[in-house]
Amino acid sequence: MSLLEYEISADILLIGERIKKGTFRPVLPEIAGNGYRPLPYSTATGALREYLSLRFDAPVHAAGYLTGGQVETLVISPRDNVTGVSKLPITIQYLTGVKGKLFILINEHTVKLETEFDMVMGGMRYKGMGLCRLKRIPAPPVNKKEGILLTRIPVEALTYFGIELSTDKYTDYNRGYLFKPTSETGGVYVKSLFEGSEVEGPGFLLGGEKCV
Amino acid sequence: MTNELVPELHDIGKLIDKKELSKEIPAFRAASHWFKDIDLGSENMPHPETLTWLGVIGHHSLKYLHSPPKTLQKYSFDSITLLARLQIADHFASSTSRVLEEQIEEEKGIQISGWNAFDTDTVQTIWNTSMIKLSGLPINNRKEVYQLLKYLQTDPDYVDLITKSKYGNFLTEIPEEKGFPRNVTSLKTHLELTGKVYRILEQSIGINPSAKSITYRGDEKKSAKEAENKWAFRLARCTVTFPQHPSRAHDLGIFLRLSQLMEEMEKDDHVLMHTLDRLWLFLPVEEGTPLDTVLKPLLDDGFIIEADVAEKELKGLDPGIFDKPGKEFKQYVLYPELPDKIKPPICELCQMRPGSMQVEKGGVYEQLCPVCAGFRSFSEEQHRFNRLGGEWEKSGIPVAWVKISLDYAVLPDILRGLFEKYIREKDKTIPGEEIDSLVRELRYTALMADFTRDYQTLLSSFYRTICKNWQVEDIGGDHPELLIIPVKEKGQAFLIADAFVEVFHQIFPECESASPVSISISISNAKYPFFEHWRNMEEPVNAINIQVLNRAKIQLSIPGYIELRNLKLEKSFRSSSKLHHAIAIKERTGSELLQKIDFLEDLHSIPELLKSHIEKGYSIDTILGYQKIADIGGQS
Repeated sequence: MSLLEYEISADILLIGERIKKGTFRPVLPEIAGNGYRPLPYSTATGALREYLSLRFDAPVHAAGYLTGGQVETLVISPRDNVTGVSKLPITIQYLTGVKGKLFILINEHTVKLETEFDMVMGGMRYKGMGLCRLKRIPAPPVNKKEGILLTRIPVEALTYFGIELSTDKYTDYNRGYLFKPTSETGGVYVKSLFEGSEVEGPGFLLGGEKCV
Repeated sequence: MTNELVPELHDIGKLIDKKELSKEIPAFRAASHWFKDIDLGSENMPHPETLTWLGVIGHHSLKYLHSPPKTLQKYSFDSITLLARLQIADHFASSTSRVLEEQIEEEKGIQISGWNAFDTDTVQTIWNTSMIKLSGLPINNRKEVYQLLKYLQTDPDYVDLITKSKYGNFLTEIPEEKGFPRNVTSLKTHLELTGKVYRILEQSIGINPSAKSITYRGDEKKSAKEAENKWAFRLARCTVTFPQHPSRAHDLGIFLRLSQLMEEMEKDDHVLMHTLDRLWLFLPVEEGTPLDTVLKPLLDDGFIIEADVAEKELKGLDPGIFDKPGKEFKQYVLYPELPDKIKPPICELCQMRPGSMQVEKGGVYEQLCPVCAGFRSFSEEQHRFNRLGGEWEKSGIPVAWVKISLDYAVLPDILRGLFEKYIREKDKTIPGEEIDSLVRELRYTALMADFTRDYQTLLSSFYRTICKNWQVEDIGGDHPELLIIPVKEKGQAFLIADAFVEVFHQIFPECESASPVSISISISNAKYPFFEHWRNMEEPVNAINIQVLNRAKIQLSIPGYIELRNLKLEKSFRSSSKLHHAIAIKERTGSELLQKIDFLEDLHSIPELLKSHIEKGYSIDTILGYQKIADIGGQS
């Protein structure tokens, strides 16, 4: 596995969960024990494909986590494009002063990435959110260890990161769904492994032992 | 008539006051609670001829293990199987780990000179040592013994004992064991746990009649003691969570449903004790009873369960195992069935199932799965939370989400401390090594079940107090752990906390300095998303946790809270400006030292601040948080 590691920084970033009740969009939750937040595979790969002007299904594999950022709240009132009438106000949570790490597997597409570049990621870009500065740092050693996953990765993509799932009947994995594009305009939600799962995998994506 | 062995009646003999009774029937002076060496015929007493009676006289004796009394030969049963199961269940449910064979042969314990003086006929509740109990055992003369035996001849079941007989009311007052210091768990809890474990063993433990042995997973043993030492069972400590982010008031139907499911699961013998979102299970190994089978009712309704599972031979299986250094248990997360892919739309609430149902309310369209839509409908049908989503939201008055929790993770350690304290207060001369030995012998299952019962009493009392004073929405049941209360007057959050402290003091006075029970009060306007409150309430930091979301927070022990309340800082207007200034200094400079210097300047001119910060040690954040919370309530 060859990879690139980038430090991410952003003034304002919106990586949240799906909107609730049509009126509230929360930011991704903190990981218990260290206060980090996941930077999901789907968010990272989507942003990178866009930056590299690739098709929706071009092979790009990346994931990471945010190590710092303050949660802020904003109420916006989108207008109907045709009538100009305000729709229901939406409360959104976003992060300011964001710091994090992004790990990108090297392939024919990602080998072209510069050592420093700006990339937009997340939502509300039309409001000026999402501009991230990425700065390459020496790639970490790819050593396998047991630990707590710090990000979110689809089950079908785990092998790219050297993570194998146990076939035991019971596990302590945290599960959920991430969006996977299947066309330029649509996609499906695929079963994924979420942060907090205890796995054996590359040390750079894992934190310490789970709190009992 | 049951025609079965009713395990919950095995210790019925403990209702007998031997000392008083021996004045009329001398043979009872040396008798045991299993009627050892009592010739009922010679005393003209009825002789029950039931399998339950076999359990009474046989659960501590080897005599009937292979040769039941002739009077019971009309039943088709294997004495060894019934009694071995009962002996194992009895031991598992006891508060002491004294070796089984000592218990079988005679009633003896660690006898230290002078300790008989501390034996009691009433249970000594180590978290409430001043609780007044009924005095005297109910069966203390010949007539009462006669009536008891006649009652047992009718072959009653446990429900009959509790609800119809005159003996039921005594069971919470009488200890499982009279002898000090083991007189700390109630007979009722012991009997009920014995019953549950017995019925689980009934499904798991069989017999090899020709070999006169009992069997489990293909292995054979000749006695309960051998079985206990070798056969592994499981104890599971479970936390129920959910993936939903409740958005509308009626999404709180998830708690209604959880409360209902937990009440139903209580009847399952695998469930030893529970709260709203925690439960303890006793199970055979996985091949005997799969864990997900027992948890199926919760999984089928979309709940997620985090389970710590310890598998060990029965002798060593106790809740204390989860505390020991070196992890002797495994951790799992159990999910309902999850598809590999979900075509959009995905459910907006849980994001775990297809959002196949479009639901419209107030012009807002949502895509929900049948499970989440079901929780919402359940709440609507029950007419719950209407005020939360209606008049309270419209009025602009803040609401307080109130959650009371019992932390099972810290409970064994607290019980250990209380047990030690109990021993030391009775006998100050006892050497440390002997106390250590007694503490090592202590088993926690029955104590924790007793504690859980008192916790439920606290919930009921607190709920009644709240209902008397304020409007409230709750999640149903006899002892709701989650309440929603409109905050119509300033400082009401503290009145709610005060009510909790008062009830707590009545039920758990010995736990005030280190409490496994906590209250979390989280305040915001009614529209604010619930799951922001829930994130804070799920993991309370201290016994008293009060916050106004994004504005103020205090997290204190009960003594710390009481002392802060007594300072009456809400009446101190001059202090507010000084506190705000100090907070601003820290925010601007990031320096706690500069904040401290600013705060200490002229502090002597505000005596209440001087006292609270310097003398009592409350932080600037806590003092300011207190004042801010005191100002919340009513129309803003």
